[in-house]
Amino acid sequence: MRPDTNRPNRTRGESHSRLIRVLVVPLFFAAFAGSARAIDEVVLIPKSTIKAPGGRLRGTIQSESPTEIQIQVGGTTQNIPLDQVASVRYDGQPATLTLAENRESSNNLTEAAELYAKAGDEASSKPFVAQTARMGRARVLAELGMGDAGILKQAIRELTTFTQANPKSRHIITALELLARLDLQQPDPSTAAKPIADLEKVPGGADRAATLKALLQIKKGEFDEAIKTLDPILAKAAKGSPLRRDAMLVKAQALAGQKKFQDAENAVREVIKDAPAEDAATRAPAYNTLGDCLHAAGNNKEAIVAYLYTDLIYSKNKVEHPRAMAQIAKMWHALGRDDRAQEAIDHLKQEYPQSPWVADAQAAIGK
Amino acid sequence: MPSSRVLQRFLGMNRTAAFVAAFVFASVVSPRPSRAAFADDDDEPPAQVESAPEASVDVIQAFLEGLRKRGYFDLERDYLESLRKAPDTDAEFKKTIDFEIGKSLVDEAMSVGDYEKQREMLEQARKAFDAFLKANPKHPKAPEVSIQKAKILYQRGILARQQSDELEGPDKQAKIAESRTMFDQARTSYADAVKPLQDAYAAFPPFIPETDKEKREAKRLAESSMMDARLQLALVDYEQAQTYPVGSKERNDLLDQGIKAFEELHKRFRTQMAGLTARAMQAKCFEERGDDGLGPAMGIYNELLDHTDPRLRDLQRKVAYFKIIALRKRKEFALAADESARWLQTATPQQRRTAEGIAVRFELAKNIISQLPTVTREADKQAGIKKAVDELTEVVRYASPFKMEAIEYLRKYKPKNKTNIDSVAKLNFDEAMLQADEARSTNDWDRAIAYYKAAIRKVDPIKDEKKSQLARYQLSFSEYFGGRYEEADVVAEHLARNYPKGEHSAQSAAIAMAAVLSEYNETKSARDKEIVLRRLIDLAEYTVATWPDSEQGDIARFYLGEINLGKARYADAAKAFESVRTASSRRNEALMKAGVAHWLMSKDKNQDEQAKTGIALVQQAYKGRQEGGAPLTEPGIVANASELADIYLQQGKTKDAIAILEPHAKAFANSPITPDNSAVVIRLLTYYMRSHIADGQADQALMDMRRIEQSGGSAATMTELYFQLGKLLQKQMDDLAKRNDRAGLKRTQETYQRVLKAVVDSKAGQTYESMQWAGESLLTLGYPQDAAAVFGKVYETFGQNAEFAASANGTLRLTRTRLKLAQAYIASDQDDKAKEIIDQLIKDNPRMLDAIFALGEYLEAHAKKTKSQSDYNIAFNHWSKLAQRMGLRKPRPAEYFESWYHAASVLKSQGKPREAAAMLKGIMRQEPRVGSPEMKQKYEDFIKQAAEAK
Repeated sequence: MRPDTNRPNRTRGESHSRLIRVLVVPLFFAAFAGSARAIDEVVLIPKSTIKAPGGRLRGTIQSESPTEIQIQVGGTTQNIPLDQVASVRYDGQPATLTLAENRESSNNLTEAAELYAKAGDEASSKPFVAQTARMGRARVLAELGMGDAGILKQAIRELTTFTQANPKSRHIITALELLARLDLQQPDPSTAAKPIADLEKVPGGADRAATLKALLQIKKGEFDEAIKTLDPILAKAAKGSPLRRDAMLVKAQALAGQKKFQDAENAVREVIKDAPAEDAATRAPAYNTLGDCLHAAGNNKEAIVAYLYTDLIYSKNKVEHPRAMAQIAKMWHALGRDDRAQEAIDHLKQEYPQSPWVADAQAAIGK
Repeated sequence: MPSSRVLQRFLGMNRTAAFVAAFVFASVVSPRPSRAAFADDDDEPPAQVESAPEASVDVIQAFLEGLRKRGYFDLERDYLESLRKAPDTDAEFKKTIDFEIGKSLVDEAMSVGDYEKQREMLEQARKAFDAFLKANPKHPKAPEVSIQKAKILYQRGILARQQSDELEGPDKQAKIAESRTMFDQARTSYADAVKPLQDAYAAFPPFIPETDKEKREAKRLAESSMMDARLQLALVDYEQAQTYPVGSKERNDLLDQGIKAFEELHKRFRTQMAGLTARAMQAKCFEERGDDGLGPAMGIYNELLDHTDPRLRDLQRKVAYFKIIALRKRKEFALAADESARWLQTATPQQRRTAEGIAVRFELAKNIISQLPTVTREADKQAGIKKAVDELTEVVRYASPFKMEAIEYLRKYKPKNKTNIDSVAKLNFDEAMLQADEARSTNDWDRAIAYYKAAIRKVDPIKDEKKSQLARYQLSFSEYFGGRYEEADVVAEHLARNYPKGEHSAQSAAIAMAAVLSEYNETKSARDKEIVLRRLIDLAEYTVATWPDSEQGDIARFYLGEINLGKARYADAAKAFESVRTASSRRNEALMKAGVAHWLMSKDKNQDEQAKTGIALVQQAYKGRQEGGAPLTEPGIVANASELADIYLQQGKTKDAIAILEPHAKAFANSPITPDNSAVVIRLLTYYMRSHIADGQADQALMDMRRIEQSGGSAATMTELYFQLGKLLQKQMDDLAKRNDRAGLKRTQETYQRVLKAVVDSKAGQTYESMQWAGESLLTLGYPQDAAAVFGKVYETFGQNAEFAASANGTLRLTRTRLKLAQAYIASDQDDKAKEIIDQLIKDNPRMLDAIFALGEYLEAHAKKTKSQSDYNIAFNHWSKLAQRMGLRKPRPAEYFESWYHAASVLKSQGKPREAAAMLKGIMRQEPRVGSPEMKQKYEDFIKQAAEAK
């Protein structure tokens, strides 16, 4: 090879610099290799008690339990209580999971269910991701099941499988609660007893289990027992908290069962008053419960107004919306307005054609 | 049929078809109108509360909007009332509750088909807005009230026009006049509202940063309000044009005005819904302008239909309908039929049932029928007819402006189906009802009745109570309109009494009452009439007790009030009228009648308090009508003014009577009197004339008389008018005499005499009726010589007129003139002349009762002059024989009692008052009612005077 006469002769110093440059780069990257390879992200709730830049913690999730997530951030391990967690994003989670979450938030539930299933399969080697995907699918199926009895059964099956397979998952409380609520809607609500009992044993699940237990008692007509179950919860639950909200709504149902209609109404109105105007998750069930109480007290016209709040303002709550529509049909029938009752059923059929509430409403008005 | 009826249905009748309302009316104060404005009524939910930091009020507003969109207006208002009572309702929102109630009522009024209900709601809306303004004159929503009230006037204009479509004669013209007046008032109100709205909008800066959401929203709302008002203003021109005949100058002028206004709006707001709506309306105005306008109209229709924005679907559906009409006007029947079919194919079932869906079906049928003459193949023709008939059958199922015309087409093209008993028996309930409804919709009552009866037989009245009741209700309806009143009553009363909570029971009660009333009118014998009347009273009382808060309850109250008025049971009449609901659209009429009842009671029992109450009520009713915006020429307010004037005249307050009538008389002075509005004018002018006579204004009274004659009533109408006028004037003088108002009485008599003579002497417009009336009035007033002169002139003028003599009742009328002439001669001591006429009359008509009476009067007068016993005996015998002859009739006629009265008069003149009184007492013992209250009073007065004469 002919010598490169254009290159200057390399000095000893120059060669050394090049070596340093070559060595520094890998070291440079080595220093950051750990974080580049495993960045899970835990997004905290607004005004969280955990301080983190941007409300997020980036690190490696070490473990998850029904009460907390353990994440290593830099050299430190932090335990984040689940009630401070808004959402979790896993390093390397499949794109299908992200897509599923997007579909769910844009209410494209059928596609979301399919994508969650796919994500669960794709993430089979990543237990936390897989659990998140499977829980997502069960949650979406439960919502779809409000409009389709067949899907509801499937949701129950998948939730049952999930809870049995993942007793220590961070999702276990939510899963057991959802399963119990779905069971409570079945013709035989006593099947809810098992998930409620399981929930009671889960750390942090006892209070929610108590609320569900009260619901089961109400279904059995044991109103006094239900109130006894709820009062300790209400005594300690923080004002405005979801726990207090749920317990109060259930108590209202128990009071209505005891024919203490005014007390029942007061309880529900308190929940409504404490909930922000845009909180469909709280207000929809609250207005429906209010409607139930007013109907039980024989005030069908006022009951219609309550149900209509859910129908006209909080219809994005897909669990409560079809129920509200069915109740509206029944109330119009009770008020002698079968024309409006039929209109309400037609709307219900149009929006939730497979919903069990359709048959329920039709049977109630004798069609 | 003017195609605009469809538009009036859009704007006045059906909420889902009210395209302007949906886009414009609802958009003004909605917090989120941009979605609502483009929402398809049928399937788009109301705005969700995405974020509402103000929580309550925004949520409530969104909720109210949702209720309105759903058509739950009644629930909305109940909810608003509950918010009014709730202690924790936001204080600022509470102030606006009346405003929201008003809006709800206006919106609902646009969606109901019942005219009375519409009127009621619009009136309630007006009161609600007034209450809001009174309590909150400076509220930010106060300017909007003027728009809403303008909208009420506009709706009332449409309502009056729709009602006129179903009327004939003077009532129709009165409604059209009312409609035009409402539109004029609406135009003024909108114009007054537009300027401040434009100023308010102009006050906003052209650019507002995106971060200033509140100000941007305020600007958007200000723009919406302004656009709404301007669009409404332009629509008034279009709607008012519909009150004029097609092709008339007034109509075209208004359409041209509309074209200009809509064009301006479109130019200014071309990308907004209001601008596009204006464009559609501009095209509509062009189309209705006539053939010249069809081209521009089609161009604009196609332009609008070419838009691809899905938010315009609703507007495009309406424009497509307009285009179909335009194609038909161009005689492009095949294309119009195709477009109609396409419209129906692409519409949802719900859209096909809307007003425009029905209209398109009707267009399809008409366009098919229009093509029939060009179809050569018989099979194609029959297929076309079948298709047209199918569409028309659907059309007649619903109330619509096309229903009557569709029924006519069906009568022509639908094969006549004889009701086959066997085939009827084979139908199930639903099939029988369908056939029955179809028959009913074409007024084929016999068929409808047969099918409804079949349906009733097919249903178990216990298990299928609702179906059974529906079928019975429809049956009673068909029986009534088929003229079978007794059957209608039986079926309807059965429902009303046995199923008071039934859905159709209140309406059944109304049908039953109408049926019983019809039975009453058809019953001949007085005794049977009394029995039927008692049934009607019982039914009306039951209706009031069972459905007190309903329209049917109010109808029953009116029945009871009128019956009691007729029977002089004034306290009961007043009570019935006063109990008509405050919210009823007939409340003012009820108050007026209650006032009249109190007034009559005060005269009967001489009670000042009752008089005060009566006057106050009639005045309140009048004020209520004024506040309700009734035009001065509206029959109801004219009647009210007349009643008030009548009371003032009876009180001797002639100036007050004139003052109350004057504005109405002037309003009519500026409008042409047509054969159609003459009844209203005549009534008013009659009262006006009486007032002028009582006030001594002879010249003015004469002018009124001329105007009455110019009103162009038929001879029979004018005869009746003069008769009534004579009675009223006589009554007026009797009242003056009773009050001992000698000056007033003298003035009235003299003025009356001058008027009467002027009538006779005038050369223009002399008719038999006016001259005969003048003569009879002079005779009654006590001017027999003047009367004789008039009768002589009448007989001379008309007796020799062969045409008059040959006309209907010509001979009879001339005979009356001769009789009255005889009476005038008797009264003016020209006995021979009287006798000559009477003898001739009896010779010509030996059995003529009037002539025999006249003879008796002559004999009596003659005997009183000669004072000869034999003359007295002749007179007495004449009367007693006549009385005995009359006494053979059952029931005894008025002439029976009159004859005995004269016989007693002869005895009294003979110096036998005791015998005279005893004779009349004997008659009264046999017949305590003495034929009528007036005759009874005459007998009692005579007996009293006879006792004093002893």
